[in-house]
Amino acid sequence: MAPQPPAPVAQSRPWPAASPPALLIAIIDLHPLAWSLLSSLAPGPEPVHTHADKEKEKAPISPISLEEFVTILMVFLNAHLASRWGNEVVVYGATAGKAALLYPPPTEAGPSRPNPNIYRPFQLLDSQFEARLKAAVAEEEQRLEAAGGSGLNDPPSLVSALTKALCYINRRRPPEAAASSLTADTNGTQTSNPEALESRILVLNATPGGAEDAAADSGKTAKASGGSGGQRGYVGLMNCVFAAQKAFHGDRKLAWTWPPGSQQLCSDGQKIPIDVLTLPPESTKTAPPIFLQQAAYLTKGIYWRWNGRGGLLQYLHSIYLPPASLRLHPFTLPPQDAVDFRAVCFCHHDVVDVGFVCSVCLSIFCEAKPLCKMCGTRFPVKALATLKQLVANVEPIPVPATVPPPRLTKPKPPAAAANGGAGGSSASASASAPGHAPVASGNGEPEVIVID
Amino acid sequence: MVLPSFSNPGAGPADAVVAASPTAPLDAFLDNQPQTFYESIYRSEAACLCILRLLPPVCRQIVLHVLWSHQTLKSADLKAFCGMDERLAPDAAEEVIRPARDRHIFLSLNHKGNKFQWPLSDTFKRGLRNALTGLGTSNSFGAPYARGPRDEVPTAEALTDYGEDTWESILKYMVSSGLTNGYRGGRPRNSVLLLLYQSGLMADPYDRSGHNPKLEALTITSKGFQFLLEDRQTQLWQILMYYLAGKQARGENAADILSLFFSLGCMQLGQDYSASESFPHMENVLDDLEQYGFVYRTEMGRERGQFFPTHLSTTLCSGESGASRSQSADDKRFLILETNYKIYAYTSNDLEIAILNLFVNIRIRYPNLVVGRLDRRHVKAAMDKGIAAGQIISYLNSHAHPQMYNHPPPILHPSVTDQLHLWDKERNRLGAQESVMFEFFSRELFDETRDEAERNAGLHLALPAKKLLFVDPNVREAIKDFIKDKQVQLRGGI
Repeated sequence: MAPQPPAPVAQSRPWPAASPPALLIAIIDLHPLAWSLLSSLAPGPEPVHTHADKEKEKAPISPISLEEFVTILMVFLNAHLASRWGNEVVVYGATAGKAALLYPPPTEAGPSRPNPNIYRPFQLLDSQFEARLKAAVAEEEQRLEAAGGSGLNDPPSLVSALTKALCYINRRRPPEAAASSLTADTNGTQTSNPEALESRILVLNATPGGAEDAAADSGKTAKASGGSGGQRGYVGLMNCVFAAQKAFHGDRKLAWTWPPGSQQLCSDGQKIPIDVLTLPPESTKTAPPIFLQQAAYLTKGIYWRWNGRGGLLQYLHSIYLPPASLRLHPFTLPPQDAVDFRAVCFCHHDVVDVGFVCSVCLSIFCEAKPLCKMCGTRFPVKALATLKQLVANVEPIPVPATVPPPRLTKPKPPAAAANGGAGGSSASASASAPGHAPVASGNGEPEVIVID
Repeated sequence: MVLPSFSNPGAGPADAVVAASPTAPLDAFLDNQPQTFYESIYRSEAACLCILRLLPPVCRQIVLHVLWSHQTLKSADLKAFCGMDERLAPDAAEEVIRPARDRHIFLSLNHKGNKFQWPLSDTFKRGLRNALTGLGTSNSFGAPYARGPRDEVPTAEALTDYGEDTWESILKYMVSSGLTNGYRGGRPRNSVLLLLYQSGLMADPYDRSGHNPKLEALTITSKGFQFLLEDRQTQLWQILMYYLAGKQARGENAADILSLFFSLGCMQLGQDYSASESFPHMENVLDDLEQYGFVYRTEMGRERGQFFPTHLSTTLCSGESGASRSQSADDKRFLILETNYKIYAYTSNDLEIAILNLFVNIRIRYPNLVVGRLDRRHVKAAMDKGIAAGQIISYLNSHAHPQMYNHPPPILHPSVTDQLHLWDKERNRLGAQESVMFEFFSRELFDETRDEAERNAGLHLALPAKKLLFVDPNVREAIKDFIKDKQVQLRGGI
């Protein structure tokens, strides 16, 4: 090792000595079609490889059933409870068209006999979560049978679950904090209660976006499905994102215990991060759920797509376990996939590259219209021709492969190779060629033409 | 020489006291244990879980990060994960996981090829994995007692009251032993008193030899006063560690007893457990712990091996949040301190009033309110008993009324904390230091000798007006030689 003259400083800021207790709200997608797809994952096409011995280390693409996944999830939730005294877990399940609270049960169930080898909170979580999950699945089955399978194609109601989760977080705000923000001094967020909960939401999405080949090639008539909330959930999902961005939560600790230099982090702490784990791997040739990806990006959460090669337990622990206050410092976020910022039009619920925005109510439309369908504003007819002409000149914007992580100079895979020997993730695989994708106009946001 | 303010954020001595972990006594004990000790303690899943929670948050996350991985933690991975410079030496990177290294969770750094890595202790890995998945077999989370349908079960509140009463009666006995008017309540058991004596919290002032103290005549020592002002969890761990040290001195296995403490810490309040199945061959430890209020047993239960942990036990491993989240948390937040040094304490608890009486001039007592003032005489009297300013401040901090928490930090006004520090400094304003004095007649020689003494870091004081120099006795010979040489030089120069 060659001696480097300026000896690197071990750390610029001290490691935090304590972190506030964290509330993790997991939203699990229980859509029957999505899980039947996941439990019958075809082993992907043999990858064209030159490094034969490297490929040998990679686990094959393997299907995963809901039971297997729930087992893994329970261990992960236990690890969250284990990582700090006072940590809490809430689980919502989103079935087709309905969201239900799975844990904690609304009424304290009669305590079963403690198991001498399980920590009591783990036991409560595991048994009650399992029981309520079974009940929810059975209810869903009955409902579908009664309806003759008609509701089967409804998208999972992630938006409904997200809304419930945000309401839950709001309810958990300590009453004295809410009261003091009304009465106390102007910077009322700076109370010195170190026990304020720090909340985050983890969406475990199993529903794929639309078929990829339709979306990938043709830029102009992309009819890609909006992913799990469906296009119809777009407005609701975005409203949830804005609510999460504005929420004051878990930030009080950060506001005064961290060294003065970290003011930036305080304002970051005000968001409720929405983490997204999307399960359908790339080998299924489906598009990523772009709106969930946007939600994660906008709330500074983590988005990651499973590669289908096992190792989920390790990935959950290494990517999603650190609480929000430790993510930027001292830990680093894993490199994020590029975010597709396209929106959905309000008229046909299509994903649009070029949209037309009403200057009065900000509704988005896929084609120029003389009358806004939402608010009824009339636009001059002669402007339409100009707009159509402008649209013809707009080039589709290439989407960058990877958004560089905030502080890491050299992108690293998020985890050491995982259980089952899964190699690099999809994120790190594409991250190995930084600077290859040209980044156009910042983050590759679609151009929007305002109807005027 | 007084620093302008003691309460600047982050660096003041007041903050350092506040930041002290409640498990500091436990940490001190664990730091001195060999690896074999950890190998045997990690066989208990409860101990693995508790030790994990006692680590700092960054360390905890790193341990969980590698827990399920097939590979060992490599130095490159650690640096990437924590956003450290890649050129950093592995030893420097190890500082991050130092607490886990000290607990022998990570074994020492080795290198394979050119990769540096820290392997995870196998026993710990198995223990924590079993704790998370519930696949262990050691009954470390406590085997429930198979009770009959008609057995009486105390409520959680009753257990809390019992634990609180038992513990506070010991503290009350301690605090009132120093007073002249005596203690009206009952005396703790002899074994408790013996432990208090052995740990130095109480002493017999009439026992000259120090070998056969009269347990009835013990009075509190300055160490005991400091103990009283600690928060509850620190007190509990301190007593448990004294107990453990005593047991260890008698040749018993400390690892087994400590894992029993951790198991108690993971138990559920209000649930009864079976002593023989949870802790085989350790019933005598439970007998001892009962005297401090850690466990509750009915007459019948004692014979059958049934016991209930109280809240003292179940909050043992709750880390920094334990004290404030326990059931009696709101009772402990009763103090309002004004900037004019007035203290309003909304409490009727005799123990708390007795402790306040140590350093507060109590003026008014109502049934639920005590009004007093921090004044120089009382605070200095407390300091003479061995209580430091930092301890008073941390006591006031931890008992501050919720109303005081709703204002921007710091909780206590700086003018009060500064004054307490100043009173503390008053006591040791004069410090004795042995010095050697040199008297000079030549200004030139004085200046040169002073510079030389500064170079040797032995200068205590220089008085240029009187040409006097005070130096450390250690450098006396060197200075003497230097002066002789200079004198020769100067004379030779003339």
